[in-house]
Amino acid sequence: MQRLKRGFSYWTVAFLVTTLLQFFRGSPLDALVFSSGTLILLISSFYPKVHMPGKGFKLAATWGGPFAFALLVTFYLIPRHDQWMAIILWTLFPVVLVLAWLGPHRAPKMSDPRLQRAQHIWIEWALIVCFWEYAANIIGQLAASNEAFPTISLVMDPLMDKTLGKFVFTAVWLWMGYNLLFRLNRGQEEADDEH
Amino acid sequence: MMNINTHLVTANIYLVMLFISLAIIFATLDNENKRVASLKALMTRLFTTRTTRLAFIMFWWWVGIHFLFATIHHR
Repeated sequence: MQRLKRGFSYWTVAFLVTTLLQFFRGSPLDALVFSSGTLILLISSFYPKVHMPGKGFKLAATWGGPFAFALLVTFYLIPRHDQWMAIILWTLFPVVLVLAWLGPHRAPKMSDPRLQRAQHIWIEWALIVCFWEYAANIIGQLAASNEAFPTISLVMDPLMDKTLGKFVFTAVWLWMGYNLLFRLNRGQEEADDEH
Repeated sequence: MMNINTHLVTANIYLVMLFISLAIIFATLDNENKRVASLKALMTRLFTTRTTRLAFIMFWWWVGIHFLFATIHHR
């Protein structure tokens, strides 16, 4: 995603808008997460870059797979909404944040028109999905019932209450996290000055 | 007057959105498409910037705590 100007990203705006929406819908946990996210993105925009040595990153990636599997088993055993779920996830937060922060910073120019087209398609598609989800959210807040125009959370909630639903969600979620952290976020030798 | 079940319509539109997303992913999966790069190629490029990495990973983490721990209120 493009920067508005040096040191400031559209991601910060997206997180800020989502924070305001979470306040509007009266969800303190989500508001806390997204306001923290907005702050972290702002800090990231202005803080000098720190790089993780390739060896350290490789070591983390080696243990990432078995650790994700251990988490899958643990989350399968712990009931949904249990306080241990929150304890583990909040403990995980700084770990994934550090791995994301310290990843590679080499940024080749987006000169390939295929990449530019793909970026346009995915941004426009994401905006359509977000618009629909946010509209359902806002209509649900204004109306007496949020069931008439459910959000994705409301649709998925009954599925998540089933053992299989929770297991499939957790497996897919951990697989995505592993890919985001270790497959796309691979260490590179050189670094440039892009945020 | 026709009685439209808005819950069902809204939920099914999410499902359609999921299928469209999967269609775009699979249409470009091998990164051989002449006009559009694959999602993986795009993400690999986007992940070279720290702010993007942080945004994606924080959003991913929030999805986890939202569905595994938080209570979703039905009214």
